[in-house]
Amino acid sequence: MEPLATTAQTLACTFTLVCAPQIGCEPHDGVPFDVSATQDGFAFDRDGRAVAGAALPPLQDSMQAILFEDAPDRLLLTVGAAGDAVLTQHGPGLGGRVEAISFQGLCSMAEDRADD
Amino acid sequence: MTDRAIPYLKKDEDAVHGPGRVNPDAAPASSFRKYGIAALILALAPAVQAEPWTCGFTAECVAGGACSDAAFGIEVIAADHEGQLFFRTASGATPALRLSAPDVLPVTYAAVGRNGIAEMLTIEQDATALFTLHIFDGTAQAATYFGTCEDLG
Repeated sequence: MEPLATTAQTLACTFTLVCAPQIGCEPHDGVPFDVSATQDGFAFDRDGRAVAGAALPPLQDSMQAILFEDAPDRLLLTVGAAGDAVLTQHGPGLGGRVEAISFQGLCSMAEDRADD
Repeated sequence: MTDRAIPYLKKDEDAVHGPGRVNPDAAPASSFRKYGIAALILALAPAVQAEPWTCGFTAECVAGGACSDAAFGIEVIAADHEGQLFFRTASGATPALRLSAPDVLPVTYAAVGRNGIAEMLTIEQDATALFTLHIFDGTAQAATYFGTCEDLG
């Protein structure tokens, strides 16, 4: 997978497996997660807000890792060369304790779908 | 930017967040006289925690698999003159980023480890910790470790 390079592109991800230690793993019809390249880095939409992210130093060839901070939540998205992807969120769960929830699925490059 | 919903990633506005940390340095000397016991409590608040951390993890949960015992350690250190942070494990050190302001808990760090493994560490206010690895070994996988960290500063 080529790294996101232009503001016209979106990394469109669909996660079909949701895992957390408390629940094990559950299949899902598809949790959408779209990341846009911005002037300052990356962003995804959450509740109508743009959550900014930054790329970590390069992984192996054709792999990407992007870190998002939306306090108190932190999200790490990693995309492999074949588009296979993992997203993990560390954030407060019930009772306020930090919990981890991970999503597995696929990402692909797409034109920006802002006008959908 | 898409406006598609992200159901599992919606923020839970009702989530109960941990208590805010108390900064004793924020109280001027005059407030100690004014507020008496309250000021004393502030003065006795624990010192702010920050790097270096040493963390030990005793349980591992691989997404799609079972949880099991683990014995894994990692340190978060500032190892050069510029204060660059590193994750240090038995296999070496890799540069790390801190996502939140210094001296604030919970704190999250992230790094790309050796062999292209992305890593994210979150340390709670009570020093319990989560450490998640993203592994690409044929298929993409996530593994999360559970343990505690000790502030060595």
